[in-house]
Amino acid sequence: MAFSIKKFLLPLGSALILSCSAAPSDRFQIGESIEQVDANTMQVVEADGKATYYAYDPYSRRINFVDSASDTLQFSRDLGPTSAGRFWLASQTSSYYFDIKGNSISLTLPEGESSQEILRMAGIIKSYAADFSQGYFAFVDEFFSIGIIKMSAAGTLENKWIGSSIINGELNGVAGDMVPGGHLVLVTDKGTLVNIDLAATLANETWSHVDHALNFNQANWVGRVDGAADRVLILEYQKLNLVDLSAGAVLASVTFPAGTIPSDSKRGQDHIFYYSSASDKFNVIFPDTPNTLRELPIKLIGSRPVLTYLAGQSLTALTESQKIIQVEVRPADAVVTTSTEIDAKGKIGLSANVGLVMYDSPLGYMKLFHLDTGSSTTFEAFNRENLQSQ
Amino acid sequence: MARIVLGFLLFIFISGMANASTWIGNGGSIMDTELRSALQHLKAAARDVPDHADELCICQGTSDQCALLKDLSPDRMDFCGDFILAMNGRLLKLLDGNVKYRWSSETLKTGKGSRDFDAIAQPGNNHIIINEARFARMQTADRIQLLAHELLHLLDYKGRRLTDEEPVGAFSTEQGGRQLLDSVGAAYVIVAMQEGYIPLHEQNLSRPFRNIFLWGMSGSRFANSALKSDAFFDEHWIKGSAWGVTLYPRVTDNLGWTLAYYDFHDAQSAGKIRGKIHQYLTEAGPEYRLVPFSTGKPFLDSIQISAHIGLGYGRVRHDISDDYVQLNEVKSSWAGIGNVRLHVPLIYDFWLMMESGFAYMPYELKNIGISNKTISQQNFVGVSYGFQY
Repeated sequence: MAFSIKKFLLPLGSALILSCSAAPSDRFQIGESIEQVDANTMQVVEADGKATYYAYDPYSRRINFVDSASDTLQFSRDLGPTSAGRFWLASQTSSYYFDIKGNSISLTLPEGESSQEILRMAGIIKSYAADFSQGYFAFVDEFFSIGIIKMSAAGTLENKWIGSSIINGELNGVAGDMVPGGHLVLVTDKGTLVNIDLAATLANETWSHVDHALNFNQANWVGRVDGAADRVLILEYQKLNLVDLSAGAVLASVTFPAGTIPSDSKRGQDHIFYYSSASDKFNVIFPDTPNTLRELPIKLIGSRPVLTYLAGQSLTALTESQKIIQVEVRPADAVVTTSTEIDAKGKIGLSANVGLVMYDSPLGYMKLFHLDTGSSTTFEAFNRENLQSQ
Repeated sequence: MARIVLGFLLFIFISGMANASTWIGNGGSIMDTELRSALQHLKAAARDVPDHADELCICQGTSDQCALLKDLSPDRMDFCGDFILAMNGRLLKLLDGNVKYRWSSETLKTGKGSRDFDAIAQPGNNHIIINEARFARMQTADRIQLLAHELLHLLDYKGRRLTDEEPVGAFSTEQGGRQLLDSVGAAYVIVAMQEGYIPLHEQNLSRPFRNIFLWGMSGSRFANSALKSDAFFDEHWIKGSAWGVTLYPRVTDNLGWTLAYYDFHDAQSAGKIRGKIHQYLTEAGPEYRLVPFSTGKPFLDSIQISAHIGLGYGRVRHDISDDYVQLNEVKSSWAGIGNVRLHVPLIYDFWLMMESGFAYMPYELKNIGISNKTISQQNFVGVSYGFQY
């Protein structure tokens, strides 16, 4: 049985915060839906090739952290009961969490210290974007106002500001995401790409941005490109575009067949996938180089993916038939290399080689699957001494 | 376990032998109330004898006493009636006088033969020795007849004390004395029946004068709040059963010994967590009983109340589980039991038992985080069966 510790630390680095859940795709928002970090979902933090999972446990009222490299389980302090509309966003670089409830964002500090409200929006917070390595966070409310927070590596608030979605008095941001280097990228209702410098914005308390009028048609989603801070993915009607941020130019596009309903995913590398009834295949679209997009068709018989994770040369997917499959992405094709059956009745986290299931067990039960080796680690009864009255 | 039972039985046997000596009556034995009640009935009948002067020793009914009198010849019937009228007044004085009654657990024999007696009168010192086991098994009518017979041995008839082995008047056989006094005793019983002091036929009401009681009960033990929260019990009471034997060395003894086995087995749930407990223990210790009432009503006069304390040893197992995790731990512990029991007579030596008491069996299950170090109340209801050895 794992034991509890007071702090959770991850190394600094260009890590990505990845959320895993079975929620429908999140469009017309910045970053990810705030519901991706609610008590019913599991988050994954990746750094230096290692994945750490965290999820709020309502029975012990704390966050469970699973380090998939060392197969260890650790815990946060008692965070109190969760409730509808309450979300947790754990930091990557230090032991603090954002406690988000309604229109309020509080900074929750380590054991023994209380929460402190650091930002209050006018409306209910609906989505968030984060550059954990730089300490930039953007929270978007129901009015598409954008709250910017800058945190230090030590976990203290350095700066904050709330801006409107209306840029320049004219452009209205409708979707976006944060890219490394302290930039927030928005796409507007007029199809314009807006590249916001967060440091200058916070310093001047006004949007500091560079615009590119690319005339996207009903653009609704912005994705990041791993290892390329000046590249973004823009999803518009029936088309995915790879865009050079600095030049403001579309480098590559993939058009979907008519009638296709694409799904987006920010698990692993940001990507889009859709099912083609004509070919009876699932197609995954992602940037295979900083300048090109690849459309990868995968044949899956009898079971559709419900969660996908894309990392480098592999795709990990949880299917409807409760199997986690790993697909090797090769230059000319893709082949399923492993298939692991799991009992997926709980919160599920995926990364390149690991799947974690946190079951609805008051006493505490989680299972970590190492997909490449076929082994698994079970954590059980870890809530026995910390059960809270329900 | 076997050693506990053997030791218990040996103790009872030895203590029974040690208590084989006689015991002075008129107080201190549960049989005293029976004796007192029978004497009262006899006295009441004796007071009513003048009202039945014309029909003494005559009976046409179905009781055993009637059967005895029906067999009398007319002259014996007359002699019997005359004898009663002549002796009744002095019998009444004797009933108010200084007669000592002694219980004996030994077989009563006289020097003249090998016959066993229910009681023996000692005219020299006004003692009547009663075999307690035989008296305990008797119906009330038989007891009155016996007491009348023995008391009349203490009185002079025509200048001397009557014995069983001599002819007397119309009872002219060698056992004439015994036949006469048996008939006279029967006649007093008939008067008592006619006056309604005792029923014609007694119901088969269970009487407390047995020295072995086997019993079984079901009930529950109170789960204290700590146990409830740690073990995920949603209810206050843990169901259980109890089985045992209580032995009194003599049927007249108040102090006996009980050997008992308690078993609690319950499963509850609190939300999605299920808790199970299995606790059992064996205990032994003294039990002291009283027959608290002397009302003349057989049902009330048979009620017993007893108190028991015991020391024992047992085991407990707790299980905690949800849909994915199962935890359990087992621990042994000593235990202390104390209770009070009410024994209500039924029929044919069956009893209704009700028990209320406490149990203390401390334990700590460190691996699954459950401990219990409080005294718990427990209540049981059940049935017992009494018999004599």
